[in-house]
Order: sequence, then structure tokens, then C-alpha cells
Amino acid sequence: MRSLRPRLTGLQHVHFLPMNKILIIAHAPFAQALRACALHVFPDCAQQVQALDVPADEPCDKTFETACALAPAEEGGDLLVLTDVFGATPSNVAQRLLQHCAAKGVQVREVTGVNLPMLLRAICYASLPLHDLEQCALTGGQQGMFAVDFSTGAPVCTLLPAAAVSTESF
Amino acid sequence: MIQQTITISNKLGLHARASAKLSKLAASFPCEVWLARGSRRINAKSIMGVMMLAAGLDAQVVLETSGEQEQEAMQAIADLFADKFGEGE
Repeated sequence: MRSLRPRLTGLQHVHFLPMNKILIIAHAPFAQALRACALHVFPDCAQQVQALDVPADEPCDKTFETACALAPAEEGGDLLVLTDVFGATPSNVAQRLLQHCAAKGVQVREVTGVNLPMLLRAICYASLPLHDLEQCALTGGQQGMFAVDFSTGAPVCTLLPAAAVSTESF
Repeated sequence: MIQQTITISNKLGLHARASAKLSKLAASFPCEVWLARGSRRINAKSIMGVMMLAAGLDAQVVLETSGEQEQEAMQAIADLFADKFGEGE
């Protein structure tokens, strides 16, 4: 049987060239932990996905400075910021970052409530225009949550209307 | 449209890394690629869809390709299953 590796290697170039950056900002150690999970699945997206852990005792300004250093520096580099919970420091820092980047002409969107399905889906669609990527992240996060029937392994309960959780729409 | 039934032979089944490889490979072809396990049928170009199958070792899945390059896609994806996703076991 012929080797599959050349095809897979070539494919990674297709998938990982003109990409939006993804920055996870979350309470420590969630951001780095999520990034590590994503790199386990997609080992070649290390440059594309960054993580900023926010320690409980860190001054907000210091966190903001670190976030600025991780964001694209100039126009043309778009950024999707994923935060864990709206209203907490990581999300507040992200909103300052959005304003900071907008002033420099860098497009930034924030999606909150990050989970692993959201992150994996965002990585898969990172080459889409930023607005579409934002929608993909939202869909991935919401459709990744459901109660599981232990006997069949099937999804049995979800917060979304039944029509919206067709597995075909993932 | 062509179909092939495949028995999953790698120890960990369609876990996250294997699903990532499968969905990437499927997405490299212009045709539609579907994967079904029992009554659940998903778009194999989507990693979250593939993981929804929760298909473990010895599970049977039906691979379906339809459209341009359907033969090539079928062969490449069947090879990936046969290669145990490069996991060796």
C-alpha cells in the first residue's frame, strides 16, 4: 500500500497558510491547557494558536500588555480572540485588546464561552474571513454541548432546537 | 456516488487526532464525503462531525463519496483507515 504521508503533509500546507490568528485568553491554567489539547490534535498549528493564562493575582494592566504583545502588530493580520466567560477579567482584557487593535487597523473578533469543540472548529476554519470564522467558532461551541445517552452514545438533549443540531451541519 | 463499508482497525478508533487526519484528507477532495455509523450520517470534512460518530475499534462505518474525484477520495480515505491513521496499532 502506498504511503499516505506525502498527501497529508501537502494538505497541511493548504490548510495552514493564509490563516487568521487565534488567541485564547482565559483564567489560568485553562488557556494553555486548551492550546495544548488543540496542538495534540493539530500538531502543526502552534504558530497560529496562542494562549494567555490570566493568574488570579495579576494586575489587569500587565495582562493587557501581554495580550497586546501576542496580537498581530499591523494591518492585515486578523485575530479571533476566544475567552472563557463574559464579564470576567480575561474577557475584559480582550475587549480592551479589541479597541487597541482596531486603532491600529487590525481586525479582531471575540467569542466567549470557549470550549474544545469551539477551538477545534475554529482551527479548521481559520482561513475563512474573520466574520465567518467567528460564526464557525460559535456553532462549534454550541453544537459541541449535549447530554449523552449512556447506552447508545447518542446525543439526547441539547439547548438548541432539534433542527439546529443535525450532525450534518457541523 | 460510491460506498464502501470499513471496519475500524486502529486501537483508539476515530478519536480526536484520527478524526483530524480524516477530515483534512476528505476536505482536500472536491467531492462530497460522508461517513455513517448506524443511522448517524455525517459530513466527513468536519472534524466535529467525525467525532460525533464515537466509532471505536471494530466499529463498522460506511464511507460514501459523491462527485468529482470520488474514486480517488474513496481510495485515499480507505487507505488512511487501513494505515490505522499512521498510529501503528
